[in-house]
Parts: sequence; structure tokens; C-alpha cells
Amino acid sequence: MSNPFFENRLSVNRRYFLGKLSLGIGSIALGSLMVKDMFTQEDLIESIQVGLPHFAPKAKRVIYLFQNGAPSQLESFDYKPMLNYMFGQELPESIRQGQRLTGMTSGQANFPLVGSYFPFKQYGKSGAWISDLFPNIGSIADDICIIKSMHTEAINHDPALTFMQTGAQQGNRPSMGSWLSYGLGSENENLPAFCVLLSRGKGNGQGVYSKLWTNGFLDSIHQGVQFSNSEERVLYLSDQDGMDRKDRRLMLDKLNELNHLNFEEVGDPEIKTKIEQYEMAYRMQTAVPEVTDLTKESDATIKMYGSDCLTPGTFASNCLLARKLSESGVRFIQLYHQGWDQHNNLAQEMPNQAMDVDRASAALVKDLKQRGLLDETLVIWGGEFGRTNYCQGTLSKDVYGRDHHPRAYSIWMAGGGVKGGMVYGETDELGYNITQNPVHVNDFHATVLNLLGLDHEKLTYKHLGRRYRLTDVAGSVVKNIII
Amino acid sequence: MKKVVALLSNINFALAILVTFLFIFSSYIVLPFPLGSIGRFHVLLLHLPIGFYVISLCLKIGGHYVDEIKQAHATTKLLLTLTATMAMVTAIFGMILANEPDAYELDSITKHGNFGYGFAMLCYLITVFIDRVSFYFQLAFMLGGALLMIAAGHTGAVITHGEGFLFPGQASSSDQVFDKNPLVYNMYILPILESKCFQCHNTRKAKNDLIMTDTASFLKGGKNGVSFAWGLADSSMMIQYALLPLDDELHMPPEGKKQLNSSEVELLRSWIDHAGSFSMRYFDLSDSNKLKMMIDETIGKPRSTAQKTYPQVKPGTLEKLAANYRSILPLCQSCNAIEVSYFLRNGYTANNLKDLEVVKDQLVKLSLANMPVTDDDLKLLSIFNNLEDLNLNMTNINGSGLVHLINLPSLTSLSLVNNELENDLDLILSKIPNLRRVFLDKTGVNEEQISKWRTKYPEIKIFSSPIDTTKLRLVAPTLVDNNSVIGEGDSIKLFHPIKGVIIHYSTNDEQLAKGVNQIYKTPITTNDGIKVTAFAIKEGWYNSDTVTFNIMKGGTPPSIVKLLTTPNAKYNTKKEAALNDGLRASVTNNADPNWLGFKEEVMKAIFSYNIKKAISKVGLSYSTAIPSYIFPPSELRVYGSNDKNNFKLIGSKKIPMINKSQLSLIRHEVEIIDLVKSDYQFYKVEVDNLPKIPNWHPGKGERGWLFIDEVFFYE
Repeated sequence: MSNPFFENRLSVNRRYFLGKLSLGIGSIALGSLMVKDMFTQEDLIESIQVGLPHFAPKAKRVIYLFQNGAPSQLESFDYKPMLNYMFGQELPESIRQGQRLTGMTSGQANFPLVGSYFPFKQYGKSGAWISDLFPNIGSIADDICIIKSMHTEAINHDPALTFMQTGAQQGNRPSMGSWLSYGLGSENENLPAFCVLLSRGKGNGQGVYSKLWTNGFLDSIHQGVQFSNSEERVLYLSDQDGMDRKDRRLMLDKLNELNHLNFEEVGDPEIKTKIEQYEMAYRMQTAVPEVTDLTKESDATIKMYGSDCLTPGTFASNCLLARKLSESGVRFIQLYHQGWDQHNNLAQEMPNQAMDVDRASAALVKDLKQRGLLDETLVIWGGEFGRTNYCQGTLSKDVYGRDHHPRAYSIWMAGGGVKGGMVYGETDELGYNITQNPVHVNDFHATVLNLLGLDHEKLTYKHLGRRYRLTDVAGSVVKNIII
Repeated sequence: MKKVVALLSNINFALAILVTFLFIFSSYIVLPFPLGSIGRFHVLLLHLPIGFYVISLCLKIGGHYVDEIKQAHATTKLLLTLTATMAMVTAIFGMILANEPDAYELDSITKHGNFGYGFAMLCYLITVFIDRVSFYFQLAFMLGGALLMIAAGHTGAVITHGEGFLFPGQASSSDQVFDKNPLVYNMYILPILESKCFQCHNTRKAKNDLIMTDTASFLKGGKNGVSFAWGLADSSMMIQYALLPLDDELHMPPEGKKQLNSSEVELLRSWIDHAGSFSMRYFDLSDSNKLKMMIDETIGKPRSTAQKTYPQVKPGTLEKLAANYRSILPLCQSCNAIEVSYFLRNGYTANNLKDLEVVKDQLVKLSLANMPVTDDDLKLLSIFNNLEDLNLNMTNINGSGLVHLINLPSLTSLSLVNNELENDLDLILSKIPNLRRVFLDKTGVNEEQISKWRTKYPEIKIFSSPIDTTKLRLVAPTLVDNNSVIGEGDSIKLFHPIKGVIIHYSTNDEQLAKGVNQIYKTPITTNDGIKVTAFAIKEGWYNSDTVTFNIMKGGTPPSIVKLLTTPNAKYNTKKEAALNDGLRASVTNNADPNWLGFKEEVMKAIFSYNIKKAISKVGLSYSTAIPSYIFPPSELRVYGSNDKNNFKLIGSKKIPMINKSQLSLIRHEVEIIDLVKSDYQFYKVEVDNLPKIPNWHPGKGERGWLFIDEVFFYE
């Protein structure tokens, strides 16, 4: 009996050919006359010259210490003594101006203001106010630029987090790290250009999902590679028992042959990506154990990061690992530290959270500076939105909580061409609205790309008939914070 | 119909005169405010003549071949006349729009205006002469009109959509970020003049006879005299006019136009005083030049690390040098300068460092961090005369080879972190001519020496932080494998990640109370469940917290477990299998799949054996994590049965509630119940979670969580 699949394909071909001949060829001819490169997307992409910066970059790599769950800006970097004076008083409507609330506080009868439980001090030459929860970050005040005027559009964790990471709230767009991998390529072909490290504190946590480090519509080679906290830092990387490197090579060569055959037949570019990924994994088998080996770190380094920096899965160990990966040419290292969602019991939970990250975050900046790498490495610290200036739940002196607040929040950046010892932007006396120099998430993305030598309007990828950017159709570079 | 056409023709005649008048004198006309904004209708109207014209053209051609269409000759004529009317009205509106302050980029506006005017006039002329010439002349004219229309349309689209809107993705040519030594005028002054002055002082408008768009006539000045003289900003007309009060008639730019801000005026002033010519380039300005200082301070240096020029690399060289153990990249897309980084220890050899000789003139940055570089290898670096930045962090050098670097004329930055340096660095600090930054943290060089160098070589910034003397707490030791269930012959291994730490432990509550403990050297052997209490110490650190590991013996696991109540869906990963699989969970990770979490219901489960088993003890392993609302159970009961229906209570225990002082307690705990003599096939275990969280806890009044990972049965 004849092969029905084969038959089917034949008939489809004929019908397709006849059906499309008249319209198809005519419009192709017309189209190629009018727009030279209409059908060769490669040419288009090449003309943007993916893989190298558009202009001389200030930063070459990014380490993003994402504080997942949204740490309160009012207990960290946005000092509002007025809230302490006005303890328990109602949030004026003239300030709230109809801001929508989450389902968690929208039913609340009143919105009593509450100030920081923790005192603040001024640090560094810039005199930046930083709360006592973060003394080590205080000690690097002259190296960091605190942006107190970040604002976002989403009011719940997942969309806000997704927005912060991908420039869109809905997911399925490429993550920041993927855009950089696409735009700048890899420095070290033995390691992925985009790595992800996870840790969690004891505070109320929110999930992180692999969609946050997705390549979206970009080639899957740009996807973030998650490092695990187990002994095997990249899962399934080591050879199975009984297989040595030679066997592996042989297996890969045969597999590549098959994949190439398949590619010639089908032409799906994802097959090429797959081949590249197998090769990358092979090279990673040597490189990953070398780069994740923390045993050679000196006592002084261990002391800098804190004694838990050798315990896999802690924020400190991820910071140290991030420094090592960055030193080895990984473009974008994304850390997530969970546990910052202090809806209630903030005064008890936040000190633990801060203790987990304060020393190691500062140590990372100091360590990079000591090694002469801070100039070319951009460190970013912050969450997905801020927290309300009023109390969620019942308010007492020691027990209070804060709901989500998208209108103003604080992050800081260090190195990579960002001015140190600077506080940018300002909020009103109650810390609710921005009064000076607002920085939207799109602006933040544009600025980060700019620091890396990429024009956010030119770093595009054509998908579904239109060009996409990390900043979509908005965003402008915050020039004032760039050296 | 004829009357209408005649009327329109007269209107067209008037319009044609008006359009021509406006076209010539538009820059001299100031429109009263409300009239000005009607220019905005231009963008709306312009689509009408385009559509009309295309239809007219089709009718004209069609009329030549098809009789039915030819008979509609009058309609065609009317349509064409109407096209001319609309085209001229559109042109008038367009000229009004172009006259608005803050209008668009000048060059493209002029082009668009010329084409638009041309099209409108041609339309009018066609209506006048159309009946007096042969068909082919008509067609030629009309096709010419179509070309003009396309040109006008395209230039118009450039104004609204930006240049290159037809071929996006191509970088615009005005990008000058990569001029290595840009003209100060182009980079910093031109953008200001373009947006604030050129709108009136260009070749077409030339108000007051001043043309600023080309440098010669800019210098020459206008009716009132010379614009400025180099070095004399304060007496220059340009600056003086800019500084006049806004309501002064001579103030520039005039009231209502975009104004210069104070920093722009300052920059222009400084430029006149300190640039000296239009052809001055940024890097030719001396560092003490006030203009350069102002630029650096307010705008920032031009983005170019490469001030020098480097010879081009032969094509194919970089590809040949590429290897998986190192990366070789140009600094940017059109730079010849190259940076090289080594990444794999087993890839680095002195030999493949030699390969880089072919790019010795282009290499500006070299990173050998973490590579097994020896002092001898540094000799190979002496050929890189353009090398600016050398990273030798954490290599195998002791500093004796650094002497080879003194011949590197361009070296400005040298990183030596994490190397035990034995040699005096005086020589290299004094001999490397352009050294500006040295990184010396964790090199063993003492602080006294460093502060001496800092005074001796003030131009070199030495990065080295004082030794951190703050004492920190060590983390507690951990249990290897982290599964605190032991079988026959297993031993207990403790671990601490930091080198040089001593672990102290005790397995006996009494000893512990007295402070007696042992130093951990070899794994602890035991035949029974055991409680190990341990802490870590190291010189220079505070002792770690004391941790307790409740290690359980495996016992006789029942073959089947059946839960009678349901755990909370969030903490029910392994279902009942979690209770008899011999795996315990991590007490710091509530999401560990080995946990079963109960809140709404108490825990009730039946454990079955295939045959009767004489069980003497039951052990319950649970979590206490007070900050996470996880409390010890309030009571647990064990029942036995042989028919799975009639259960008999054979053991129970009430567990004392914890108090306020344990608010932050997180501990993995075990409760053992001794059973009355029993010999059953089925055992039922009931564990009550705390019905009401006490008042001192933020969760007061709620039910407490109960987290169980394993139930042990011992014969």
C-alpha cells in the first residue's frame, strides 16, 4: 500500500502551487521591487548587527539582585519622618487621588498612616538616608545611586515582576537577560550569557517562575539557565555513570549529524539552536565546575560576604557565585531573593529579610570594586513595586503591614557607568506620590540598555509581523544618573 | 455641471494666485493666533487630492479605451478641477502649518513644501490646458503630476514618521557616536542651534539676512553685524541678544519660539570663548580648558574609549584566534581595538598567549583572571604596547614577573587582587609611565606600605581596603545528606563549609547541660536514634548557633498508609507516601515535598502491615516554625486494630505549648510515644494541630499549621 502521508504531501504541494502561483509570485515580485529586503529577515537583523554594542558601552555585564515580593521603600531607602509624626492618621484623599488598591486592602474602612519602625541614618558624602536594617548597604552609599522615584503600572506581584523583567505584564516576552544575550552575545562561549540564581528568605514569599527568564520569541539559546542549589549546580549536566567524555563527544557528533539532516529537510531554525545548545552543554561540563568552585575563595572574601556564603542556596552564596560568573564573562546574572511580601508583621519579618541580603549585597559591590570590575559591571538591587504608606490590617505600635504600591518605590544601582553617591528622584512627604524625576520601568530598561551600549530603540526583533523592543514603544534614558 | 466647473475654475484661479503669493512670502507673514492652528487641518485634507487625483487619472486613461467612460468626460473634468481646488487648499494649510513655531525639521519641510506647491500648481495648469492638447500630452502631464504627488507624499511622510520609515532597521546616517575625536561644534553646539536657531536663520528664510546653517555665513553675521568673534563671548551679538530680557524686541530667539535655557547659553558662551574655531575637536582641547571642563561636567565626554587609532586587523585573524578557552572581541561595532579574556584554567597555556602577537597593536584590554599564570609568562606581555588594562586577579604570580610590564607605555590599569605578592612594587609603580589605577586588595601588602605609596605616587589611585576586623557569627554545622534517618551500619557525618572550622558536638543532654562536648573528627556511629547537638568555632569569628539534629532510626515502615483527612492542598506534594518513605524534610523549606501540611483538619491516618506486628514505640517527626505559623501538635493518639474497624487506644501524649519567648523558634522535632503492649496489623495515628494560636503571636486566634514529614514505627 502506498504511504498516505507521502500522498497527502504531494497533493497539498500541487494544490498549494497552483493556488499560490498567480497571487503569490506576483505579490512577491511587487514586494521585492518596492522593499529591497522584505523577504530576507537575516539581512535586516544583520544591519542592526546583533552581537556587539551599538556604541562604546559603559557596562559590559549586569548582576541584578532582584528582591522578590517588593521590599518596603519606607523601611529601606525612602525616609519619611512625617509618617511617624502622623502615625495612625488617615491617608488624605488629596494624596491618594483615587489610586486603585489590591483586593487585600480595598475593603478596609480606613487607611491609617504608619512610619518606619526602624530608625534611619545618613551615609556617605551624599548623605543618603538609609534605614538601620541596611548598615552595610549604607557603607557603600558613595558607590550606589538610589532611585527613589521608580514607578510601575501593575499592582500585583506576578504582572509587576513580569513587567520589571520583560517590559510587558503578560509574560511570553523575552526577559531582560535574553535581550542582552541577543544584543551583545556571549563573552564566554563556555557559559550561557544569561544565568539565574534563586534563594529565599524566611519572610512571606511570592513565587518565581521560569517564564521570568524566558527567551520569549528570541532564539532559545538566549534563555536564562537556572543554577540549582544542589551539589550539581546545573542539573543534568554531568555525564551518567559509565559514560566518559569521549563517549559523550561521540554521541553528540552522531546526534548532530542526525539533527543536521533533519534541519536540511525541515529547515526549522530551532533545530540549529538545539545543536548549539548541546555543544554549549558539552563545554559547560568543563566550565561550570570550575566557575562554581568556591573552595579557593580567600578567608577575607568569605568574611566579606558572610559566613553563609559557602552554603548553597543562600543569597550570600548566590552573590559570591554571581561575582564569579560575571568575572567569567556571563552577561546577565539574575538573582531572585524571595520573602519580601510584608503584608502584615512587617516589623518582625523585615529585619530577617534584610539580614539575609544586606551584607552580601554590599560585599558584592565592594568585591567588584576591589577587583577593578565595578566600572564594567552594573549591579541593580530592588523589587517590583513599593509598599503603601498606610497600614494593612489593624495597626499597633509593633505590628503593622503594608500593601502593594505601584506609584513610587526605591531601587539602587551601582557601577557600570552609573553615578555613585547619588540619590535620584523624590517623593512627597508621605512617600505616596513622586514629586521629582519619575523613572518608569520602561525608562529603567532604556537606561540599562544604554549603559550596555545598546540603543533601546534599535535593539529590535521582528515577530508576528512587527518589531518588538524591551521598551516596546516607550522609555527614555535617564541621562542624569549616567557618568 | 458646466456652471459648477466654471465656478470652481474661477475659485481655482484665485487660489493659485494666493498659493503662489504665500509660497514666496510665507516667511514674512505672521498669522494671528487662532488662524495659526488651522494649519493642523493640512494632515487631514491632504488625503483628498491624492484620492481624487488617482481616480481622475484612472478615468482619463480608461476613457481613452472604453467608450462608457469616455462619455463621463464631464465628470472627469469636474473631478480634476476639484482635485486642483483641494490640492491648493491643502498647500495653503500646509504653509500655515510650516510657519508654526516649533515646527518640524527644516530641511524636509522645505522639500515637502516645494513638491507640494509644484503638485498643486501642476494640477491647476492641467485643468486649464487639458482640453487643448492631445491625449498623450495629457497623459504625460498627468503622470508627471503623479510623480510630484508621490514625491510630496514621501517627503511629508518623512516629516511625520521620521527618516527611513520605508526601510526601518537601517541606522540613520546622522549617528556620530563613533567619531573617535568628534568636532566640538558638531557634537555639542550644532544640536542646540538646530533646534533653537535654524528655523529662521536658514538659507530659505534668512531672517535679518543671517544664515547660521553654514559656518562661513554664520560667522559673517547678518544685517546687524558679526554674530560673534572667537574669544569674545560677552561682546558677541549672539550672546548679548540671547541674554536680553524676553520682552525686549531684540531678544533671541524671539518670544513665542523655543527658548535657549541657561545652560545652553553658558555652553555657547564658553564655546565662543574657548573653542577657537569650528574645527576644534574634543580630544584636542586641553584638560584645563574651561569648555572641556564644562562639557565633562554637564553633558559628559563623548562616548568613545578609543581615543587613539589602531591599525585594522587583517580579516580572518580574529576568527583564527578564537578558541573556547578565550574570547577575542572588538570593543565595539566599528572599533579596531580588541579585548581578550581567558576563561578556562585548563585552556590557558603560555603558548597560546603567544598567539596574540598578531594583534599586539590592537590589544587594549587583557584579562587573565583566575588563570594559572606564572611570573615567567608575564614576559610575553611586554610586546603589547597599546595594552591599557591588565587583569591578573587570582593567578599564580608572586610579583617577580611584573618587572616585564615596565615597558608597556599605555598601561593605565593593573589588577593584582588575590595574589600573594612577595615583591616590592616600587619599581613598577615608578616605571610604568601611564599607570593610573592599581588594585591591591588581598595581596598581603600591608597597609603602611600602601599609604606610603599613596603619598609617593599621588597620580596613581591604589585600591586597597583595610582589613575587616569586625567579628561575625559563623553559620552552624550541617548534617551531610541532610536526611536525618539512619539505617543499620550508617554513621552520622557533620559538615561545615568554611575551612579551618572546628565542630563541637554532644549526644547527651546531661553533658550538654554541663557544657561538656567533643570535637568532631570522624563520623558518629550509633545503633539507635540519637540527638546530636553541635556548633562551630573558628578564630576571628563568633561561635555559631547551636543546632540539634534529631536523628531517627528507620524502624519497621508499614506497607500501606491511608490518610483519613486531607492535608492543605499547598503542602500535599507527595500525599500519604510522604509518611512512610523514610525521607525527612528540610525544616527551613516549607515547600519541601516531604512535608504534609495540615491546617483546616487534624491529621488522621491508618498505617497497615501485611501481617501483625508487635510495635512498642511510635515516633512522630514534625516541624516547629513559629514565624511561619507552624506549631507543635497539641495532642497525639495511637490506636490499634486487627480488623481495621474497631480501633483501641494504645497510647497518647499531650505536648506542652510553647511560650512567647520562642517567637522565632524554627526546629525539626520528634515525639516518641510508648505503646501499651500491642500486636496489631493496623495502627491509626491521630495528631491534633493547635486549635487556637495564642495571643502573643501575630496570627492569634487562627488554627496553627501542623507539618509532618514522617511517622516511625519501632518493634
